Amino acid sequence: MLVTVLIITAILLSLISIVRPQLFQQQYILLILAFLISGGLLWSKGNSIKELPNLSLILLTVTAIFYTVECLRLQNKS
Amino acid sequence: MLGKLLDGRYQVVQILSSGGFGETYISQDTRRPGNPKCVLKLLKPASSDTQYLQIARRLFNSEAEILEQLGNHDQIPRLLAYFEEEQQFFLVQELIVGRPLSHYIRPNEPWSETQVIQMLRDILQVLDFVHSFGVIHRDIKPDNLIKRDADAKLVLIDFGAVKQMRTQVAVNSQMPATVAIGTPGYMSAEQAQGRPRQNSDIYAIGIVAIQALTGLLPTQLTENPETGEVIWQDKVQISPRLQAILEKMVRYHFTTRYQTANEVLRDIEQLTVPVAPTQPVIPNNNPRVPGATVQQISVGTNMEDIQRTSKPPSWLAPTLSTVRYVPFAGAVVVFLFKDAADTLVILLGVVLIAAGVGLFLLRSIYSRLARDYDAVFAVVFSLCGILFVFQDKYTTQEIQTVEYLLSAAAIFSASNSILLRLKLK
Repeated sequence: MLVTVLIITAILLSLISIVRPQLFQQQYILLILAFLISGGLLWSKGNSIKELPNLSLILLTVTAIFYTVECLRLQNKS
Repeated sequence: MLGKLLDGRYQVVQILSSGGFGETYISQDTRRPGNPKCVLKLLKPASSDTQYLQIARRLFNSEAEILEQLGNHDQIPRLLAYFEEEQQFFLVQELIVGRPLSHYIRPNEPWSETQVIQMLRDILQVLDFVHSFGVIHRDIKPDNLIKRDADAKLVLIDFGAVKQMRTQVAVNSQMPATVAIGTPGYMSAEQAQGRPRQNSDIYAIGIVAIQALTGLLPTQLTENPETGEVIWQDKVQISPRLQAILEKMVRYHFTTRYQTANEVLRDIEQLTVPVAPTQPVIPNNNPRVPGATVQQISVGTNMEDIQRTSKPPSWLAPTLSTVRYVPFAGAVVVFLFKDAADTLVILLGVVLIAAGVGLFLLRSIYSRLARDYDAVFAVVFSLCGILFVFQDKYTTQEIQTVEYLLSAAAIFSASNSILLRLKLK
């Protein structure tokens, strides 16, 4: 589930760079890479994560996605 | 209508809006170099009866004369031409390139006091000019205020509902009421009854300001069932002086409201403090008692209030701009050096706890820069930090890398978000 969310977020961010380039800052490439690599690593090692580290990863993913969306919204506003 | 050439000069290129009384288009002036764009308004007469058309023509000419005079103001679109064609009336006006204020006033995104004061100054100066011609706009709302791209000034548009005071007097002497024109929520009581006054426009501007401050639509605000006054004070934390001004702008009875735009401007100019103090608002049960307002003004100048509303420190933006990349570097180190991974994850935990505390302090000290949900994410950061500090040291290197990467993404996007908020301020 987390893997899917991370990969989809990375893809959506990449699409934004094409569809709405005015909203996309170059630094967001770091976010795309972070989401993609995290998704890839979790996909290969996902079964070995314990509950608490998994919870923290979910919380951090939610936080990262939430603030990324806010950044895009603020960028649109400015 | 698209592509049609009107008056042998104006070619319609785009439909802007369409309604029962008329339509608005963007057209090109084919007789000017470069074919500049302009706004073309079509006013549809409700009947084709000859006598009716004569009256409609007279009113149309009268309205065009008013618009001609009002267009001399920089923040009102200029009238370029008006003509009649096939028993339809057309107005050609300057095209204002920008976005309506409704684009900037969004639900649950309250404006700061400084922004609202600036907006009030901007609109009231235009309104003062409009009122000096004895004209009431009657439909002031965020959709009719365009923030011009060129200079970010607010331009008042859509004078389709304008009413001249002398017309009103003449009509009132013959019949009890005229038709109510305006937008619900922004209409004062007397305007809803078909008897608008100049300070009905002041009421509308007051409501727009309250909408900006609360992030709520006028229809979401409740009224006091006994007095009819709009209740909004409990939904916002603003300085008592601005609150007093807004209360007087939106008084239910026009006699107790500000009478002229200039009066409001004078009071606003007295709000000399760049950013007014924020404090929990003391409910004012009797807004018409001047003493109550004076008491509130004397409150709220303590040091805590000043700190809560002071500008963020100058080092905040450059620090965030740099620090936001650091966890990414940490992720690379963790990925490359397995031996250092355990120590670095503990360090990451400490950094996350610090980020949580920092976000919480931002919410507490510079409340205008922060959002309510920042407090939730401050807790999330701290919780994740604690989990990382005490997590099993046998966690694999790949998972530690993921922890670093996701922490880096979260810190980066949160920092970026704060930087953008700073920029927008």
